[in-house]
Amino acid sequence: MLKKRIIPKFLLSDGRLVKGVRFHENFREAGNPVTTAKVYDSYGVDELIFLDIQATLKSQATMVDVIERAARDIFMPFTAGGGVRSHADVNRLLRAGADKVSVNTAAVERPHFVKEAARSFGDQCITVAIDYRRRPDGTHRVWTHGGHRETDLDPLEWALRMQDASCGEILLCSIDRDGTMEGYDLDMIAKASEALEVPVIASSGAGSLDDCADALNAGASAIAIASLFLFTDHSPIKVRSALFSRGLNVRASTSSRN
Amino acid sequence: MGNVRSVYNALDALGQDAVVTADPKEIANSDRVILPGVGAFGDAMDNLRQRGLIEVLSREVLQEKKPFLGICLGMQLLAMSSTEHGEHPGLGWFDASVVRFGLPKNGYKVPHMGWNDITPRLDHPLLRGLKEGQFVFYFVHSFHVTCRNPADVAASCDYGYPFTAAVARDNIFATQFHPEKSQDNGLQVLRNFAEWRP
Amino acid sequence: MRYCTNCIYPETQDTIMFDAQGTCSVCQQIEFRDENIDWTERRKELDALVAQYRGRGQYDCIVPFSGGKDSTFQAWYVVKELGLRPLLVRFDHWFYRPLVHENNTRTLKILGVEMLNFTPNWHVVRELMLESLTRRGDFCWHCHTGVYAYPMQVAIRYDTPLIIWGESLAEYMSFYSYDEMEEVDEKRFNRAMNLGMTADDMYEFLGGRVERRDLLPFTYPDRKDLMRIKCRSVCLGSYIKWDTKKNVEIIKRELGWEGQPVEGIPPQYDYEKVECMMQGVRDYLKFIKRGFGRTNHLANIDIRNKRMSREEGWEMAQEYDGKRPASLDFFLDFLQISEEEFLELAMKHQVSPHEHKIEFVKDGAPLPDMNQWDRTLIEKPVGPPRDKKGKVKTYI
Repeated sequence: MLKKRIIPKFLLSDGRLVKGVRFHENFREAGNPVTTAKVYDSYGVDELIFLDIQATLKSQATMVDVIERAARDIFMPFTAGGGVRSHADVNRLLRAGADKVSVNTAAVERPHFVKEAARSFGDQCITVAIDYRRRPDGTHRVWTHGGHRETDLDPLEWALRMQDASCGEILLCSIDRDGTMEGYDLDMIAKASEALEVPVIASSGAGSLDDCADALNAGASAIAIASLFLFTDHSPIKVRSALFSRGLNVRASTSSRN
Repeated sequence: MGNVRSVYNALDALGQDAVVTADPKEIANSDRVILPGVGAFGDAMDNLRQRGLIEVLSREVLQEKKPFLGICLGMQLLAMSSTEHGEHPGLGWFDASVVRFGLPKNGYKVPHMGWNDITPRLDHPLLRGLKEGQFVFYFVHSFHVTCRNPADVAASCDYGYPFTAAVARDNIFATQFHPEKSQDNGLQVLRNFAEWRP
Repeated sequence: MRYCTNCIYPETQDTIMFDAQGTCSVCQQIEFRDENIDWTERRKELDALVAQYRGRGQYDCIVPFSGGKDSTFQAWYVVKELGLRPLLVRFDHWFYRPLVHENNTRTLKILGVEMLNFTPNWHVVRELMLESLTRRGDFCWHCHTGVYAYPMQVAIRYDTPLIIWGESLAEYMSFYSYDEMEEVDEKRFNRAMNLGMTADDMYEFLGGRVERRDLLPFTYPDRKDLMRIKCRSVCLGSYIKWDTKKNVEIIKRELGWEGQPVEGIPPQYDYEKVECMMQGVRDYLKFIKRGFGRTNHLANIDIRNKRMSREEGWEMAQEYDGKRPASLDFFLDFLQISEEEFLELAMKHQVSPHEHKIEFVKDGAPLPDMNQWDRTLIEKPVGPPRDKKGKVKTYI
């Protein structure tokens, strides 16, 4: 049976891993991206996500270097993104060794970007990252530019449009919950998983083993985790063995092969 | 492309001497051939045709019997045809077709993306060295191969219904999953391929 | 909290999984060890392995050695049973108790072996302990990385490709299973030893308080260097059936090895972790985070080996686990933090669903040798500059 995926999500800034809260607050050092990638490969996580949160020309070059070095040592799937604006950007990351490229702002600004990229590079390899916030009236809006600009798009409608544009999966990030470790946005995860045919990666808010189980039970195909791995003693092996014991279908065995 | 580089990196880590090439002469001079396809079926066939690779692959694999490994699209291309973005003929090495997953909406996402168990149908040298519980590999695809000859199926996988996860015949082996992205289990398949004397 | 139905491991134990009957994966591994492995065959495999290395260089193999019960047994077995000439490599984590030196003196004299001792810089060690405690609620990073990385560096330096470690991790945890031959390599180092933090990470975390070269003793060597010497790094416990109690009898008899009291465990286990001053603090932290301590672990070994009932084990753990160790005072002095800060850090790292009840904690008795422990205080502050209240920084 297809396993639910556990995916560490790593943010890069100046070539180092960092992690903040709600995208802009309380950034903390989180280590060296290449050696950390090796560590998480050893843990047998299912995939990795690397996002460049600076999205400058220089930081994109650093990202390519990180991906190239990581790809020499780890033999597992990973997604790269952050500031991807053109086909050349997609191509560069794929050539460096990424399997999937995550796109956010460019997809909003240029309606055909995802469709064309999917056509050129394959249907599966474009992941659309949707960063969203809840408004006081209870509706939600998609934000772009690393959580700096609000759009008038509803995240669910936007996700459906991106599915029609042949994206491979949706990475759903709640800016309000990001880094808070107070639990995933289960309502949105359930609605998106129900509405979409493509897989949904739930991101933002994992703070306990139960949170992880809840997001998967809400319908997510995968959970992305950052703070829980980076700042606590919950290794991915702990998370997936706990999920297994809770009856979830994750890739777990006592063999070091997984 | 991503997975060409990854296949190369994995072989390098296993201490194998590999080259990435589209040059018929280099393919003719090699001891074994891996075809890791990426992108859409029709484009990939056009590329093989334009670069003159169909003849060299047929000669080296079907006549010279060099060990051959196809990965993902590199397996699908061995079929007679695919319906991805229109009807396209394939290499036709296997009596098989490539179709999109036809699945009920509830619970089954397409693409089939992530780690899934395979069930070996043959005791094949490329699947040796793996124990029970280790036949778990990484998949990412929306189309899958349907074999008309059950004897060609080396392994199957279940996603809503059983589909072909690997095909094999003589010196040919091909996988829908990505051994180069399947950590130790995948590296074992690549190591087996590097040592395979069909 | 959910517990194994066979032993008394709770669900907060890292790595374990429960099957449909509620039995934990470690109990299943031990059943596999006892019923499915042909240990005579495994021992033959060991003989065949070591035959390739005997007499090849200055040393036949390296035995990473602390002087505790397991590594003393390894050294004895390698010399007396396998007839090898080992180099013992000892990484001094700074907390060896006085008795260890006496034991080691006897062991080295009787066995007639050479030993290399390495002591890292105490200033660097303190920084690593505080950073590791802050990030993971576990201060042992410097020890667990040094103990597993440094002997590999020595293997390269002395061109001695065979390294023989002790028991398999499958004996106590589910990082590995008994049906595989566990290689003590970088994957295992990353998976089970370094708390998910490499020396490269630590260098960045410490923000210039140490130099990169200060961290070399804790850095796993390059894969290519290990490939060049064709390194094999194996567990003795993959080849011989591990029985701690029997091993302890052997080293007591053959090497005059002695045990001593340890904080938080019953006196009859006077062989368990006798080497480390900070064992009590480590186990206390584990209790705060995960709700069980070392007596739980010891009871489980006896339950799985059918020497104790589950009920007896439960009662024993209730009595001994979770006391505030007297050694905590030493620890707080070393790291220049208050008990409140220590507890705050520990509580932030609790693993759900465990909830620590601090009001029920009783004081543990001091150890008889504590008056011999070094208390040298150094003026140099540890950690990053603190906030106005002088508190250490936390990450969550």
